[in-house]
Amino acid sequence: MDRLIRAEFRKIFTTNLWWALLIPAAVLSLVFTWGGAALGTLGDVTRAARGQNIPLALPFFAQGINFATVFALILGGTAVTGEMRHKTITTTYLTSPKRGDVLAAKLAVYSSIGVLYGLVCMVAATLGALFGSNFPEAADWFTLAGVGVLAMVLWTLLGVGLGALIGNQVGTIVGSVVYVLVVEPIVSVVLRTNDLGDIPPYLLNKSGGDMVSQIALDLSFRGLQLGSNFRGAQGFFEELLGLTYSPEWWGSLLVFAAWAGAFGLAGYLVAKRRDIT
Amino acid sequence: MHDGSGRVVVQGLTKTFGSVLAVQNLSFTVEPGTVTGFLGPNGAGKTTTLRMLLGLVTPTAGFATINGRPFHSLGNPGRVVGAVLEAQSFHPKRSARDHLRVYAAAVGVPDQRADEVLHLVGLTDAAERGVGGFSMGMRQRLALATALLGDPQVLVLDEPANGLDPEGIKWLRTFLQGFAKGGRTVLVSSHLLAEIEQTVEQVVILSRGQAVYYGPLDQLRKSQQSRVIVTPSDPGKLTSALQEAGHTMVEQLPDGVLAVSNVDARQVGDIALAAEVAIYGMSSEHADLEQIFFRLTSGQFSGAPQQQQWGHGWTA
Repeated sequence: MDRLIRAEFRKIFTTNLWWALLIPAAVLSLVFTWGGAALGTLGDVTRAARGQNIPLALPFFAQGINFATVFALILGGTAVTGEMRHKTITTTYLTSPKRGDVLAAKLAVYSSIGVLYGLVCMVAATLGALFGSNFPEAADWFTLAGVGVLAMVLWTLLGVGLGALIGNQVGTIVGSVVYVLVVEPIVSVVLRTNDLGDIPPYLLNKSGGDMVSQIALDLSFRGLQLGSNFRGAQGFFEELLGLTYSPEWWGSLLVFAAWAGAFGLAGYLVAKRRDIT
Repeated sequence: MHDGSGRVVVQGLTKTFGSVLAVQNLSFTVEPGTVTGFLGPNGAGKTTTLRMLLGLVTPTAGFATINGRPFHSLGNPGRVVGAVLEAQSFHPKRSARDHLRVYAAAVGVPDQRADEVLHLVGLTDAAERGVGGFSMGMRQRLALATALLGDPQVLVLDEPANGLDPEGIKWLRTFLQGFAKGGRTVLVSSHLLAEIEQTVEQVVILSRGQAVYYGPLDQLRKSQQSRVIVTPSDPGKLTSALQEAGHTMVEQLPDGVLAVSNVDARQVGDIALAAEVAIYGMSSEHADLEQIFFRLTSGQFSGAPQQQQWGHGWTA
């Protein structure tokens, strides 16, 4: 197994994709957090919070993560499909015909790449918060960053599983990005307008996003002294982010982990039987 | 784990893709110490067979073993079998050395083995270049280098001469023969007999997913009939005389020329003399291997039933 893990690391670091996708992920984290941090120091906002700086860097960092995870999803999606596309999968299976081992090695290696993505995005977001002169409580910040790393890992693994399942690189990447950005939002709107708003939180993208957004809001509003006009502010933000019907952050985490696990398993079962011609 | 014999056994192997029967009840054995050719026209099922042998394609029926074990039970197969497959390829942006280092890690050999095999196939100068800029011949060499990483006992090559220049083919021939001489096993496929005729001792000839010949190449050469082309004064009379003498395979060619098989020129001359038929011209014709191969595998696309004997039009 350690032989395969070494081989998988080499596959990633001998090509450029891993950093080409990491750059936009880091930039998104930085820009979102900078914007949020700066917004939280504006006069109107601080007046509402009785002169406190509202740690808006937290929910904005969360949104940054939720966009940045798309790049982790894409990278994960290339794990198997890149090998299918360039036909190196033949050589890979010749050196390790136990395809379950190959997939397990990929999952392990891409998990650590997910951690790397999460950490780099955290550093970028930290810079953003400092530039915006509104750095939240360190404990809150790193709690959110930890959940962000976890989300990044799960999205990467989801990509690996999806790629193993679908096999075709363009199909995997275009399909998953279109689903995440177009299909699921539309389905969610349709469900909500038909009084089925309690279903979307259990969909793939929504559960993956909610785990980060929810904990960010919880941390932002915890211990914040708000004027009577703003007692409902957390509810307002939850509605804005479509979190009204969502479970606790860890509930969304479990739902999303179940999705990633299901696609990983399906990918394994299909890849195991796939003829490499 | 495996018996270390270097023997490759294919037994009753069958594969259908949807309604297409790619390989049909195929059986043969490849012994160590020889280069065995795996011959057949494009689409005969060679690649599918090799991919089943290597565990990349699941057979519909039958099995294939190397060293007495199926490929996936070989433990670390890179140490036992090296394969160069037609559809094998490379990441275009990854350098040749990096490619080899990826699989050196997977096989579990030290990194300097990558440089050794690069040197072995003559690619040392191109080690740092991305494979995307490689010629077909360089890709074949790199594929061979990859196959050799684990210093395997068995080498399987699918159309390795594709894209090689004549010098490269000659180099490959010498390499494969040297490899087999050391007691190792080589199975090499081709759709062109001429390409591997000088390399192989044994052949498995495949047509429409079935083996039509399996054995030493020399025996195939000898087994085939030669025929005599004769221009007699009276074709009808000579034909009956030949048939009385037991030579029934006589073909009427245009302009009163006869083609008689399984006979030598001296016999035809004697029979003609006894039958008082004058002979204006006579020549012996030996089938070369290319013709034998063509005849064995012809009919692949015509849907005609398989014939082990020479073709059609013989008067009996």
